[in-house]
Amino acid sequence: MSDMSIDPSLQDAQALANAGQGPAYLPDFKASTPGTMGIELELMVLDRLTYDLFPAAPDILRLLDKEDKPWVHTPEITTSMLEVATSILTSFDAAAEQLEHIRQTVQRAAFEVGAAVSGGGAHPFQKWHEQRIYPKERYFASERKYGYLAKLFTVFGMHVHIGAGDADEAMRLTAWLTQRAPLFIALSANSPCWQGEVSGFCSSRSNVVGAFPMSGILPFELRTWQDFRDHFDRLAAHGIVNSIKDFYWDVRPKPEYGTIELRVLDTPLKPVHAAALACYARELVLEWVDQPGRWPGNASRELYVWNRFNAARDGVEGSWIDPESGATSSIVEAVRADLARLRGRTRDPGFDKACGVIEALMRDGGQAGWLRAHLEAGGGMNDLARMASEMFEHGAP
Amino acid sequence: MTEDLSTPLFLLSPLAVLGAGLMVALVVGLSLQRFQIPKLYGAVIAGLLLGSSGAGLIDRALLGQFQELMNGAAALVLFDVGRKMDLAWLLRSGRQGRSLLLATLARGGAAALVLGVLGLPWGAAVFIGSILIAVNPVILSSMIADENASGTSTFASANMVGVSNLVALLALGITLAWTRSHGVDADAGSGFGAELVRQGGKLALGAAIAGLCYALYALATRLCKVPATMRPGMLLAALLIDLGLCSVTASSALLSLLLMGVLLRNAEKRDNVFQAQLATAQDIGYVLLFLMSAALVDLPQLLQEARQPRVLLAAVAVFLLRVAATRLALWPASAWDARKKHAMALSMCSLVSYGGLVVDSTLNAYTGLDPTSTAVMGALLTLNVLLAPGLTWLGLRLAGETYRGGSQ
Repeated sequence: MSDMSIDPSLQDAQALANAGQGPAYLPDFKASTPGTMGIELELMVLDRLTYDLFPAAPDILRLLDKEDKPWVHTPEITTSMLEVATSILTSFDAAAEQLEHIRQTVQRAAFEVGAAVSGGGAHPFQKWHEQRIYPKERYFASERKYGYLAKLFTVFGMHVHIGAGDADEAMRLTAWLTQRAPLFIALSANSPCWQGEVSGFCSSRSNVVGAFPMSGILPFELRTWQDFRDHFDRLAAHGIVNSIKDFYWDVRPKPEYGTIELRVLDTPLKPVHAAALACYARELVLEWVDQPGRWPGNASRELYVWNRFNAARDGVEGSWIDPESGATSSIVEAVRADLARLRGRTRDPGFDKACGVIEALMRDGGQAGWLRAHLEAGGGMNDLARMASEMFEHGAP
Repeated sequence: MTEDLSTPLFLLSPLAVLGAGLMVALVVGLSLQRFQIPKLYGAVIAGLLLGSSGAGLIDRALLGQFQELMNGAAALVLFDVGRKMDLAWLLRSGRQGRSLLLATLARGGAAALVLGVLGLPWGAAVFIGSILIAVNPVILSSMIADENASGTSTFASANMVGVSNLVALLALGITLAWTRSHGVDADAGSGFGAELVRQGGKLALGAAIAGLCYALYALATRLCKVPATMRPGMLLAALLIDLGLCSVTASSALLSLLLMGVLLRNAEKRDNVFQAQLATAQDIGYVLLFLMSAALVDLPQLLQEARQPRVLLAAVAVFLLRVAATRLALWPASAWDARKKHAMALSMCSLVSYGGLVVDSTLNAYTGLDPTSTAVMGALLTLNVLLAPGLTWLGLRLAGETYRGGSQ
């Protein structure tokens, strides 16, 4: 991952393109160091009485502006969401430490204005129509473009950026990481309720993004950055896309950072979960980096969609069809096999700890299972939101 | 026989008259809302049309028949105020909680000081000042509901209403004891100490009843393990027991219900999800309560007082200085930007009557004050009815936390 700073003139062009106010713009892919990583978390802002979503993000962001810190904070599409992003990281320990600092700082700012914060992929009982669009032109443009989908998108994800080296390599690594993305859906799944109902899915959030026209995955035929640029230009000529942000793919290249971005995870209930899952993704990418020129052998979109569906519905208790071998196994077995292989080649001294955290995430049905157990014990939806908030606020481990 | 009846039949029924008032208030209020005017002004107009300033259909005599109902409604409003008080935040948020307490004290202090300087007897000035500590929960809650306000300053304002009413109830216990022992109709046999014990006893007993009723509610909810949304009936039962016990023991029902709310919010954190169940009843209750307040406003009297500028001037000065004192006290807080602080000061402009803090048969007025002080209090209550809903509404809009749905 390269330096996060972007040339101001390019930044302006991109900002206008993002807001739908300027011409379509796709920046050049910035060179980066493979395996560097950054983590973005979208957090819920909650009312301390009802634990419903609470439109206090602008006030929290104003307090965070005053903090001297290595990470950044930004608004999100509605005023009950806020996003935080780490600096460039290279190990589990550094990730866990910075995410814990983020948690403490955000929690303190939220308490100061009378709010609570929480992880989790979807709020269990919020009503989409009650959400308020963040007062910023880019988000109003989204609302104009997508109508009610903009508010429906009040879901909370974790995005992992991983340095890809160069532009063509980013396309190859995106294809590989896309294949594995359902495993991350399963491990992070923690949104078993949606709009006040038990949804029957471990990750309800995963179904929301599918409503956007440019959701899905990188088309398999795009093998080079030039292929992607041509694809972008064709879509832009039809007015379908205006910037990279219009691609709601599960994994997408992020040219201005020199990264590929894994976007399928529910925001974990604890920061340490986020650090562990990001390191798992990072180690996978590093493994593919060491196999130059090799592409995934199976391009079946249907197989991907099926794996994704299973992971979203059943979480860590789901099944997995390995796209390369075609063998069916449980998600737990697939993840354990990955971790065992990656442990043997990692250079991150903290990766063992990350594996321990992931192992814990696969116990008792994972995060979704923990939340469901609370409901089955008689807890209501408000209690569920409260429990999630308390888990986040108690921090590590 | 019908020839003998010169009055329409429905006017013989206090309930029908009050129902008609509510209908007018809602029709006018909802019509005004279409023109971006606060709905509560429907209650103001209905009250002025049907009350002392207009047709005289809703007067003290009629409202006296609903005294129990009004007392219960006022106490239930205070219960909801208590339920919005987040003690952990108030105590641990540092300068935020301190600035709200300071604003509360500053409002009462500024009012007493101005009234004293303008020539009211100091005893009366402090007595009125202790009442003016409190912010009117009906106006703020109604405006928050109407404007669908939600955000950090709305949260803080709701906390400040709770703090202000709690402090006012305690302060009034002291000033009432002083006024009853030294005021114009003081009982010669009753000293300050004895009165203080009497007033303190009412408050202490109210608090004890709150503790008892809360314990009853907590026990009931543990016996019946159902989600909180299925327990509003149990809560209502506990509140009725509380009200009844306060009534027979002549203890402070307002403090008792306020404390019930505080306990429910802060001790039983998992049982606070009654919003949806209470919202409609609250909306109607707010309109009805404000209609009653407006009906007691005597506009001709105010116009007559305008010829004695001292009374009106004092009322206007107090009204404005309470806003200024609140704004000044919010200065050190860091959680809100300047615009939100202005907004909170405006939203906190409303005030309550003596009857709004001491549930008894006197409705709005306390008879133990000298005529000038009584006139000033009357003028303040009139200003409150006429101006406070609008200023509160303006404050909420200024904070940018209101929302009407739909696209931007």
